[in-house]
Amino acid sequence: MTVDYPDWTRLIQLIGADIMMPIDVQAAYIMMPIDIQAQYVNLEVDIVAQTVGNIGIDIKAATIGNIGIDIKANTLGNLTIDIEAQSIGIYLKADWEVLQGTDKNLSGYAECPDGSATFVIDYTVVADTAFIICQWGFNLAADCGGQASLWFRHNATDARLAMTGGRMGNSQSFSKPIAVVAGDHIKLSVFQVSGAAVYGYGCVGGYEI
Amino acid sequence: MKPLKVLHKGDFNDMEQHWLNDGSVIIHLHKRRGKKHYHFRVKNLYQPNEEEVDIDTGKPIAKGSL
Repeated sequence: MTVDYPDWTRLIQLIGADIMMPIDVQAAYIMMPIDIQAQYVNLEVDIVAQTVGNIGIDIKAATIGNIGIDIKANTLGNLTIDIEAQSIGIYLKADWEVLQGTDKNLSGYAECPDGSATFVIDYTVVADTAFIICQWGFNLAADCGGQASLWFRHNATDARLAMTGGRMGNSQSFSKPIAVVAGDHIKLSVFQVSGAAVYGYGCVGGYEI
Repeated sequence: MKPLKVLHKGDFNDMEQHWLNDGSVIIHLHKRRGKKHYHFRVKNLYQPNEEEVDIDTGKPIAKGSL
């Protein structure tokens, strides 16, 4: 259809054993119900428009290959996906985190001399990810009653990014998580002043996404 | 996969580090999917001369035994 034909409302019905039908439709207003029933379907849909109304896709098949959906829009209404399958390789981010796919807990310990900072955790965040620290904590092993603090330092500048302290230990959950970018180290050190060397323990928990 | 590669790829869920007085660290990694565990000892962690060493002695591991 290379010319405008506004009165074209007749049903296009193709019946055959082998059909290949590229469709290029350009118009100010398009309403196009498509009903496909076949033994095998390979369908590519590319839509460029100022406004896209509702898009409903209903697929029923014994086997479905890859489904790629690429949406770019300033505003997107509700996106409802209802999938029933025996096996599927899609996880929404929240579901994946519940399954602990990105969940990460780091812990470490060392003998900490009195009056100096001792590293108990050193971990480099993996390329193309960020480590979102949601909680941390520390404790001293011996019943020494000493004061101690836990420091989180930036690996390049050695600046103290966060610290906490307490008597024998402490733990905190962050309402605003700390994000550590790829390549940076998560380095936690315990500083204790119990008067003797004791084992210090530290931990951080979060997601590497 | 070698334990150090697992660490650098971040392909685990839980890690414990035991820092020893000689500067080496005994690391235990746990990956929940597949229930895999890795237990090893590293000298000079994240340094250019980083190497996995014998977990008991801290000495270099003979080639071919990894």
